[in-house]
Amino acid sequence: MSMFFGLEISKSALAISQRSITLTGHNIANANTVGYTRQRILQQAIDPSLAPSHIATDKRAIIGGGVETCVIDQIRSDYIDRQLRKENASLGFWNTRAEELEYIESILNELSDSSISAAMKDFFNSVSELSIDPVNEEIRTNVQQNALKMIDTFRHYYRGLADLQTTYNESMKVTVRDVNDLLTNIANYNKQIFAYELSGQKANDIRDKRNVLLDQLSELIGITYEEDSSGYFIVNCDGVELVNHSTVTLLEARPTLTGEVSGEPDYYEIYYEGTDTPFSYSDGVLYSYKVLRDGNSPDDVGIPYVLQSLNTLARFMAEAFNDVHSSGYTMPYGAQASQTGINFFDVPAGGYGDITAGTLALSAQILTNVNNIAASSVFIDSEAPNPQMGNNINALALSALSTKMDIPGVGNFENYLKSTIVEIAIESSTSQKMTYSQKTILDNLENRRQSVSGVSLDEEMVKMITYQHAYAAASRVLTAIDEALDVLINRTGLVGR
Amino acid sequence: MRVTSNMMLSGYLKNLGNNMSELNKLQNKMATGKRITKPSDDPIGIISSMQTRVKIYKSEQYKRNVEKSLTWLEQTESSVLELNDMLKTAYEKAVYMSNDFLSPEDKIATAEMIEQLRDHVLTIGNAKSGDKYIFGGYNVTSPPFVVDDSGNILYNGIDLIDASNPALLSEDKASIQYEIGFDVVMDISTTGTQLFGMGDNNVYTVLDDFCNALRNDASAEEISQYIAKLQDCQTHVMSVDASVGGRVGRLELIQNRFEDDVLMYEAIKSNIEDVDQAEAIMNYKMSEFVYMAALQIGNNIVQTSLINFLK
Repeated sequence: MSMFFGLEISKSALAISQRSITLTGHNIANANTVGYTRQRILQQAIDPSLAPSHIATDKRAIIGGGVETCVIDQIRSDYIDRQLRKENASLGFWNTRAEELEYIESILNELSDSSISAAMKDFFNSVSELSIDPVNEEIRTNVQQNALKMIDTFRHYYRGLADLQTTYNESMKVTVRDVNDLLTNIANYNKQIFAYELSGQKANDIRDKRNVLLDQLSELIGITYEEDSSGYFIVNCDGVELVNHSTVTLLEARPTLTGEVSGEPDYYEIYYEGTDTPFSYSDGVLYSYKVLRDGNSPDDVGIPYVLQSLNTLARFMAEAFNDVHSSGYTMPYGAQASQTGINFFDVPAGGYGDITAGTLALSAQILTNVNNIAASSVFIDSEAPNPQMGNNINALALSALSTKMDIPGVGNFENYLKSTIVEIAIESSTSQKMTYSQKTILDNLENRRQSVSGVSLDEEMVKMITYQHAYAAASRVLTAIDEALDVLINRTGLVGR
Repeated sequence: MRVTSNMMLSGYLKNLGNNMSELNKLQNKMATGKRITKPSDDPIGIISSMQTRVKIYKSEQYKRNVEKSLTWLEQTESSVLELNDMLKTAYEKAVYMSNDFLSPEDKIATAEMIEQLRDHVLTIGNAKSGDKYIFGGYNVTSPPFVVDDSGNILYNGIDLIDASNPALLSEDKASIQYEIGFDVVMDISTTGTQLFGMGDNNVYTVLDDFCNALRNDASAEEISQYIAKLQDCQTHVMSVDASVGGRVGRLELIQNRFEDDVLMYEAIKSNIEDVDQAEAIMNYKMSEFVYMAALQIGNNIVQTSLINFLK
């Protein structure tokens, strides 16, 4: 074995210590980089060279060839990643839902004096007032004005909610664009990683970037993914491939729908790009927006459900009120004699079914003259000795509607509205709780991920000192061999000089 | 578990954030005095809260209705009492006149006086509360009692003497009801027929007849008939007064009850919606303490690192 072999070993030792210190530097440098996974050098001893062993002077003293790098690896748990991405979709769904339902609650603003309940109470109180004094024109005007206020309130909330529905529609489109960006970038990284890793190296830093994108994507639509044996990376959503290595199936939002209940135009259906197959998804932020936009049942509360409730209330209120009102008689004024069969709320050409909270309106007669409010149950004849102007029987029946419990369709006006509000409140509070528990789960998973992959500065310091010592020791070995060679070369064979 | 300083720092930041948001929440509660700002804060509580809001709102309207009913009935009562006074005076005159020692001139003088009373009784029958005639039933806009050219008294255009006239009987049944509670209405009206009575012995006709009898120099025996008739009239009016008085009493009771109810509902609503300030302050102080402690600890976490100890 050659003396110079020792120099070779020292060289490999110096090189690997130096590389380790550099890698420590890289780890420390990226200690705060989002998505960075700590890296380590996997090293192994170089096997003793077998070829020259038969000419070795001492066959029992074969020494290995030093050290070499296997690979620079990253320390990451695929299991935690999968868990985290699965829960992330759920968080995306509930978090969006909780925030938006809270917003809907604040739009309805039920606890304020400008709520629908308050406007309805004001209206019915003025009707009660009318039953006390049906002759008084100011009180009649008050009934008309309070009815207008109630209608305005209905319309205001209807408009606000319908606008919000359109906002969710736009949010869906924006989210689809984000998803497409992420899919495209993931496919690009797939190509880079594949090419890089052909050499046998690991593309650690590019993998980190792809992992960040997968985290983001999992929050938006909920994904599953795998890396097949040939190193191709595949992303699925609901069993359909969105990314297969460098091939991407993009999504496309096409305005082919109309808004549920509100009937607003240009609502987006999401397709796989270039096909007529609707995109299949059931979790994440995108799905949350879809439920908020389209949900129309008590277990799927969305804007349409609230709009529907308001519509039903407006519709049956108009019908029940008109029913009683049209059976009464109006107050004569000017040349106009007392009439019966007058509607209080306007009935559209298509009947009560066409009334929405956004189109509820007073009838033309009530708007023209407040004397057309029918408070009396009998014909009022201003010429007769008893004109019957004090007859308040119909006004009493109108006022009694507010406490009546068997109005078709809604039961009781106040209870109906109350149950809708409470449904939203419960849904909102459930979403908040779900968000909270999802956040706790994700915090825990994130912590575990950090525990495995995060850079610990203390640890890196210790390692740095270890590598530094290894480097110093290797240098010392080199010096020892150097000195031995010096003796051999420069001071050997000088006997008797 | 492997713990990195970054984990500690981010955990610390998260907790600090939680503490801050808790402080913010408590501070909001104290500043607004409200425990609930939106229904989802307490979906179950909100049910009773909305219920009580309705009750308070309605109760206040009913209270106003009761006040108006009371005003109406009090004015009715004072008219009835005034009518009773008139009848009493007439009765005294009748008693005084029922002897044979009075000259026709005396009788005519008294007849003048009774005529005054009779006309005043008509004014009472046409009394108003605000703009509305009290005793007209549903006729609140024109004087219910009118005397026609032949001296007959008409109630809402119908001869009051004809007690069997169906039109008059239906006028007698007219009742104006006011809403004075949840699904409770009260008849607050007293019709003119109830006030004066119907038929020959109605108050106006009795006085009118009495007046005519005096003018015609009626005998003591004839006049003494009017003593009984006027007594009957008085009994009749007193029974009207009792009916009105009874209703006033009931309304006053209801009025007091509404005042208590509103207070009770306000208390229930406040229990659900409002913050217990003492508790809120205690909670705030506690949160503040936790926040301070967290800041203190943070000071240690942030500064500790192996680097400080490497020579």
